[in-house]
Amino acid sequence: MDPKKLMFNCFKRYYRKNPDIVVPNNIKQREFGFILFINDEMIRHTAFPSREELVKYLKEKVPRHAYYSTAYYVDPSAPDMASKGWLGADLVFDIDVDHIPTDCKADHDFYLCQDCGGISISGEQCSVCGSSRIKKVTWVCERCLDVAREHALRLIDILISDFGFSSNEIEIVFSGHRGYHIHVQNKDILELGQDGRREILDYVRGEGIDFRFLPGFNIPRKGSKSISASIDSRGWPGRIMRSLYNIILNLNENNFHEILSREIERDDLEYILENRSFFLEELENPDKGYVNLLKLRRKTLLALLESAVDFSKVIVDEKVTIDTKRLIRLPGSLHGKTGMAVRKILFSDLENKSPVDYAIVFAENEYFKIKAKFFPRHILDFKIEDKKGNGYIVVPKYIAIYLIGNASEIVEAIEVI
Amino acid sequence: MEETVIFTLEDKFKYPFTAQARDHIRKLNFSIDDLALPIGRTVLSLAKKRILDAIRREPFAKAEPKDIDLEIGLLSFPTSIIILAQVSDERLVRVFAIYESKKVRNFLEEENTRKIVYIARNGLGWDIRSGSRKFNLAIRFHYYLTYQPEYLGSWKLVNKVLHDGYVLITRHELIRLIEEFSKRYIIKACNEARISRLPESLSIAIEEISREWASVRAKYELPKILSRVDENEVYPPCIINLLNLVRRGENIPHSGRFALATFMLNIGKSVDEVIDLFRTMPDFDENKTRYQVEHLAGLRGSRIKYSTFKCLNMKSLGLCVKDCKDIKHPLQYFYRKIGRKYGSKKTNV
Ligand code: SF4
Ligand SMILES: [Zn+2]
Ligand SMILES: [Zn+2]
Repeated sequence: MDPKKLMFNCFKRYYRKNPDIVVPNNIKQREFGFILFINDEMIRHTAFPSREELVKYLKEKVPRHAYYSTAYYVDPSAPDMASKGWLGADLVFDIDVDHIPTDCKADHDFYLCQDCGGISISGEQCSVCGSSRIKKVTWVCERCLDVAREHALRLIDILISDFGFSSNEIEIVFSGHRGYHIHVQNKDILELGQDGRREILDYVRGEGIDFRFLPGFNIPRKGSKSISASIDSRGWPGRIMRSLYNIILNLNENNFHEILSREIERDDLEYILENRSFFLEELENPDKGYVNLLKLRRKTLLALLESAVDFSKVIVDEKVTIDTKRLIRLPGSLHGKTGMAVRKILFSDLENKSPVDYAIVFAENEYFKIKAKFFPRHILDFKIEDKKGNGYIVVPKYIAIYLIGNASEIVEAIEVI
Repeated sequence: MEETVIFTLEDKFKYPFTAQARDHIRKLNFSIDDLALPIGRTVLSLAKKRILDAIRREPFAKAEPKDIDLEIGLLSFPTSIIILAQVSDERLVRVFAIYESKKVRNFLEEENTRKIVYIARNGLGWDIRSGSRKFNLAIRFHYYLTYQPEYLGSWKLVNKVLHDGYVLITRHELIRLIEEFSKRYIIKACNEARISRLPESLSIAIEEISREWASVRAKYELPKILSRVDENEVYPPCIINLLNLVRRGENIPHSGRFALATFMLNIGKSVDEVIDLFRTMPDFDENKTRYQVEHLAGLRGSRIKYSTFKCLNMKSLGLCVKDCKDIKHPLQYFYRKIGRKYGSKKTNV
């Protein structure tokens, strides 16, 4: 069986069965883009008058990837950006676990040599032929997706409580791969340029926080330090103080390397632990007006506060937010690398469910026997094993599609069983 | 309850970009043909004076017209914009816009906070919240982001308290935001102003201003100090971009000036050479610039020689223009190009 053909046929069946395509608002003002199965070229500057026309196109062309513009244009099908007539753009965030360190990556990521096809675990050069033309093959498992989910939740909290967006202005989309796209549709941000968007981006990722300027923190090099920010403070000051509380609450001799992203001295750690209940009590009383820091050293205090920032910042890809002419995946379409659906979801789904619950399309009870050169040990919710040790693995359909879509190079043969 | 603010004719004269002032101007129904009338000639000469004051960087106290009819003074604002639109020199427009908006800032600093809030809210249509007693000011975030004069330090949104869509700001920051608004308002107005025909009196004024501007324009040009090395070969794209902006007389933000100045100092330019670089800036002030550059060079104050930003920070400040491969620091780019190793005498903030 030709793996690529198998994938194409699956996609074709999906699109012909009237899938749940969620079209963006003002569809006529959006540009669409597609990548088909025949080559890697992006077909751009496409526009559709209605959902029906778009669905018809999807059925006909069966794209491997489908996108639309976060921007609104007078003439979205004009062949170049200048003549499209930019009217504004949604504010979009891309949370992609690829940018977030997780320790499960060792369970599934590897490197593939583009010269000899050899596999290596570390990324500098091919361990077989020594070539440096190697590509990283990354995968996602439930644990990665959970980390992405955590960041999406943090982001939504900031968008609502700090930026004051209402929940119905926020659209949550599972990207079909490694994370979530969060779209904000609000008239006030529509015409915001790149500089303004970068400020919003830096805000959500806590980039550039400087305790010399952030209200509520007075931590001079010389003289007495004082913190008047509290767990009830608004914006970042309160967020930092709440994280600080959590850090102090959970800190112990063994976990401080994980909990603190900045280093502190051993005796400072002991000092904090000895006085833990005092510090917690101080933080629990926001009405007192200031926090008694005892004899905590400036350096240590800053390390704690910076760790607190890292604890609550959102890791988000910068390009998607800043670029006001970008294309983003169409909800309801399939992701050509995973075969999972790009899904618009409710906030409660984000809170309570995993993409494995709602984005797997090829869930039929159909199994494939694959001869694989190498395979990730754990992807999505499935543990892959070469039980007989003969280079063959048996996987359900959705995993087979994911293997083909993401790294067809490793699939040497495939058959239905 | 808030007391009502009385917005007088004098206020409209001081803040001609507010809705109230523009409304008043419209109601006066003054057309360019009226410039030929005696009253029009007064308007025209005031308009010319406004521009000349900006070109000559006349101190505000000296520049302020005395004993004039405020309505005539008010009309001189749109008239000067029409003249500038005709002279059509971008740099002159900026010189004028910066001068006028600094003047606005000066006026605002004398006002009570209630008046300033009134101007922002009713004059510009901004969504501002103010506490009744302590004058805690908060501005809806998108106005803040649109007129934010800098993206660094205390101006950076992440260092502000943002809650429920509103950014807490001080009175002084509100003044700066209005200043920035007025500057952009003038630039935009000059770019958009069109007139159907050119009366004799107006073309004489335009000629006069052009002549005056031509004679001083050179002062705003860059002395050719940097032409010895082929800059395009050795400077990173971000620095070249800043240099170009400076040479065109664009008013780059502080972060950009900081990046450019520290870069130049770090590659061994003298304090004077760096000061010369900024001579083309529309708001150039030799003493102030000298003070700042000497500070950066470590000749003053903390005696720390400042390093320039690393690429990561340049990116976050919006100063990076190209993702240079394998480059982490603009200075690294430079040293690579000239073949010296980076890091030998790196000093840091
Ligand atoms: S990557 Fe660094 S050196 Fe290159 S343009 Fe950006 S900031 Fe400058
Ligand atoms: Zn190899
Ligand atoms: Zn994982």
